[in-house]
Amino acid sequence: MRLGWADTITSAIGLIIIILLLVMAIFANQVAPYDPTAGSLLERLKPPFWQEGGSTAHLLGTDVLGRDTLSRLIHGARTSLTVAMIAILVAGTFGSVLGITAGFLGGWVDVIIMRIADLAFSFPTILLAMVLAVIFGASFANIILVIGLVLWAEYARMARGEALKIKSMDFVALARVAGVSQARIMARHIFPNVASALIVLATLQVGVVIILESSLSFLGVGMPPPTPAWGSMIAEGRSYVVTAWWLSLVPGVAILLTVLAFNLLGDTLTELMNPSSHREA
Amino acid sequence: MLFVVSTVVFALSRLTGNPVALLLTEYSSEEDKVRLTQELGFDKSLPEQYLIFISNALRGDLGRSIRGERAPALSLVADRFPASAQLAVVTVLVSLLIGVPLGVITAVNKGTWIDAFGRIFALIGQSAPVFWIGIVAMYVLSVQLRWLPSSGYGKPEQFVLPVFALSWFTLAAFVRLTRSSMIESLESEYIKLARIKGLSELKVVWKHALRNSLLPVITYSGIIFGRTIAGVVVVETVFAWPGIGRLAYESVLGRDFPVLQAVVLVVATMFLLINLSVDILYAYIDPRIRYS
Repeated sequence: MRLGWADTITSAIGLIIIILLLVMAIFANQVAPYDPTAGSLLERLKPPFWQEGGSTAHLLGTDVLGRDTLSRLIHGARTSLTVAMIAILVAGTFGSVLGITAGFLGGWVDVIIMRIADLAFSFPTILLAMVLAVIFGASFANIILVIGLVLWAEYARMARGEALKIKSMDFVALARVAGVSQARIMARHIFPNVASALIVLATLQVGVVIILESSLSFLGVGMPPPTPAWGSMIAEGRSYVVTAWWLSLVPGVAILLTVLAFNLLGDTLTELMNPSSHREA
Repeated sequence: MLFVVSTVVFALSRLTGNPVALLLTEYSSEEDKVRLTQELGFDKSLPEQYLIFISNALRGDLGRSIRGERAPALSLVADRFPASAQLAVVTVLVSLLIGVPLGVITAVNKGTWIDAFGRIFALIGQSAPVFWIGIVAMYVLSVQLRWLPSSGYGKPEQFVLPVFALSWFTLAAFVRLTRSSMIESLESEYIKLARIKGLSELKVVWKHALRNSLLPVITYSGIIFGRTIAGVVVVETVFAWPGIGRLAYESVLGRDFPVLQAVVLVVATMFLLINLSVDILYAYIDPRIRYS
């Protein structure tokens, strides 16, 4: 399968953005010019450098508490990517184990697992996060729990579908004849063949998680302050839309670029995986 | 499903040990605590509490708000429900009316700049958070250009900004779904036959191919509707829209657990009804389902 030039360019752009983000997130302490949580009230609401009154000391200006926007943005990348990675790892592991089990064993195990997955699909995520935030207070663990509760179902569905396809293949039958245990067949024979589909799904879901996390932070039920998170930065800037519009604009652009990058990469991976979906391209 | 959701909500509310602590501040007197504990029935055993909760819920009694005049939680939700329903329905309609035709057009022009434009448009919609689109649209269209009211509810022009913010995301999903299933339909045998029969291209695309491409769109519309509801909660807080999303947000700020619980149950009920109607619609559009 060869990619068209347009797909090659867009996925390359996506990949470059993702690498830059990862570097930024990993080396946030070194890259960021200031401490993201320390501000000086003398320097509050400074505009970015291209605006009148802005300076290169704070390239993207400062917020209401005088904290450097650029530094908060860089540390915000770390928050978003950490949440995305952990949530997807947790949900992906649970989802694929349950999905493979459902598809491979079939019968009532399949029925029960997929029923629960249907339920998880239709649960109002954001409201659940609000309930948890009221009960336990906003925290990192809540976010992972809420996002994980919703995400696992999609992995379960996909892993089940793939497992159903693979289970009737000859090499699985051979393994069975050779006396390999069911658990071992699932782990050693089914899982490696499902893994690539799951990785594509994971790439596409990074975007979903980042949007979800930023929505939660925006509503004040995500990352508790003063942790820098893009969603809460937008929320903090909202009251100053008239006088300091950049406060809400800048973190939104960061979310847009990040999610776009993962979606571009994920779309290309999907096409590479299913050449049939794009026969003529 | 509804039973499970209500049980989950009940379990969550009791997980903290003492739900009274949720409702009172640290400044409340010991006397208040005892009174509230008795009033809310928290001095009884857990199974008893659960039975009372379920039987009350079945009779439409979801407790009272802990704020203001302590209105019944369900009636608060009922008051706010129409505003949210209007927003969600208008959003889904607008998204369908723009998203499906755009999906068809991009599929027909696959590989051209029209296709590229449509796909990028859809990608941006799926990549930007709705609340941010809302704030940017508010800044440009109402703060700078003063074309539209920045918030509020009631007049038709007040629908424009929230619906715009919400439908970009929703219609992106419709574009992608319609596009991929149209591409598949257009390559099928019955479309070749329709063309050989000499039907006009317009009729082939918009009637024969589209009709068969709508199935996945309908299958997913339940999920899309669910995401729209999630978006509604966020967008309502941006535009001061007096719906259940804003109510939920206010309840979080005021730690008004009974009202939040009522919102969750009402939304879960809606999900159930929507998924049910999607199933029915599905059988109506695809005659094959009736035979199986």
